[in-house]
Amino acid sequence: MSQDIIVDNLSKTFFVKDQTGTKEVNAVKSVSFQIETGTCVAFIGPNGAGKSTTIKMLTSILFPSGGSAQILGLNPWKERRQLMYRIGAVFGQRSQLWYHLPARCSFDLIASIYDIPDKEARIRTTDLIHRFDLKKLIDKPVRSLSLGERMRCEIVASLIHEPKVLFLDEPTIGLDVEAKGLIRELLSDQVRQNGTTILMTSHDTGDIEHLCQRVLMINHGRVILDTTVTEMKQKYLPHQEISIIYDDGSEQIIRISSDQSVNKTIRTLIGNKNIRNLTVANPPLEDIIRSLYKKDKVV
Amino acid sequence: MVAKSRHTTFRFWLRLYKTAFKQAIALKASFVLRILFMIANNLIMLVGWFAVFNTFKTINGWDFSDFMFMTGLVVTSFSIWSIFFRGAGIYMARLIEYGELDNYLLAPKNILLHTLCSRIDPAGLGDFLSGIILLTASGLVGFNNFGVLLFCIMVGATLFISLNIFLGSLNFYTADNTDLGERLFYSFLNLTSYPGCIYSGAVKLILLSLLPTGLISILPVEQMHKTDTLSLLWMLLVTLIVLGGSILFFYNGLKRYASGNKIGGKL
Repeated sequence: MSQDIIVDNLSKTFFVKDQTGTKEVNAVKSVSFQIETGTCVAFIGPNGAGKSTTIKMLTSILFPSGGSAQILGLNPWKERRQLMYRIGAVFGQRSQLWYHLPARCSFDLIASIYDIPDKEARIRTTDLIHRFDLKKLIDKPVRSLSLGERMRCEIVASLIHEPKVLFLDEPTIGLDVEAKGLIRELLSDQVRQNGTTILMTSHDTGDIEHLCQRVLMINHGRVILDTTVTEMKQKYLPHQEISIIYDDGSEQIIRISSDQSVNKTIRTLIGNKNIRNLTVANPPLEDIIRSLYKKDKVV
Repeated sequence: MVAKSRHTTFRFWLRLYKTAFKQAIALKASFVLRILFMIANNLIMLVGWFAVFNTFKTINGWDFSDFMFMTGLVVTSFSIWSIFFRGAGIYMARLIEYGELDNYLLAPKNILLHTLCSRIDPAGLGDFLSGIILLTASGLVGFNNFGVLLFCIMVGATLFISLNIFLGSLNFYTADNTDLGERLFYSFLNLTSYPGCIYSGAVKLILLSLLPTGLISILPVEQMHKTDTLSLLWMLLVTLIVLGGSILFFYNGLKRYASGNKIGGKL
């Protein structure tokens, strides 16, 4: 399988002025990874880890201080225009829609930005409006849409030119449970039906579990973990929770660390008592990620 | 292939203007009021100068019709920037300051032109109308010098656009220069609101070269009375240097662009 994204020793240094003078801030330090065609990868890390800076470099918004990258075989900083025809980006905190106008006007303009003929643009937009269930929203001014509705429009706006690679920076930020679920479903369809490659940052573990096959974790500007979602859950389990309901109705819940034996713990707990129910539960993905942030350097 | 590319490019710019115009008139009452007040503002400004010229008849060889022509030219040139390239200036400065240039960097189009054309100011239509009224009322424009008038308007508009690209780009180099840029622009505009005939010697030389407001407020009036090829070439040369310099200043600054995390949209 071919690699859509190849990043090699990418780094970015900002010079920040404060009261004591100019300080050098290394936001990204020698980040390297590759992403195969048609995969959805979660790019996670705590606030200030360097996620957005990396994505902004890969989408040619920022010039790197060092290293190289290739997106679909193109250099983001030397072949910006060619690359932009083939990638899409959604920044959850930003809007590419015109605030006082209906989203349809922005879609028409975006089709022109990508030189899509009117007839073709109409077909693609109609299809996306149908898939993203925007028929009732498309003619309302963007300012009157809810955050979830606006985000669906933002994603449609980024898909009109049928990008091969999609960069999503916190696409579900601030959305309610229903809106999040809908967007995850739609993005999942996009990967399945069109083979789109997605690199996505998110603080929502639901996004990772529902959408992504692989996780790239970054902290202090370095990649600290590169693994599959399944492996992360198994290998980096910080603890497990054993819950026992005894025949006499009493309950016992105990948390054991990942290096303790489940079998031995259960035997010790039960002893000669009869049990009605026993469950061994893994912690939520959020706890796993939090423990990894604390450990920091795991690879 | 080239023809197709030109066609799609033309279609894009046309649609961009259409969208920017729709956005500008989305709030209709504000749109109409701004045009009306801009016309009133430009005409009111003339009242004081009418009184001055009524008393002195001529100032260093200029009469009221010369002043009307100069004001008409300044206002028309200003309106071209305002209607078609309002993205230069404060709008650009804010995009840079708040890291909102990202949307333009993500589009496969010329970043500078895309930014310049993304904003139009409805009040510019008021300026354009009052500019045309003043130019016509001055009585200085005829068939013989109509070409010179168009040339002078293009020079004036290019200088306004270039200056705004330069001032808007200041935020690439040091932070929080939006207000400074706005003040500097209005200082420049101030210099074009007095009759060009009051400047002489070293000041006039500076206004025709380093701070070229004289290319809008001094030389055009002279050219309408008596066309001089050398002066027109000088106007063209200085204008091209200022335009080229401002474009270089923008692209050099773009390499320093740091983006940002402000929550916002295309207002």
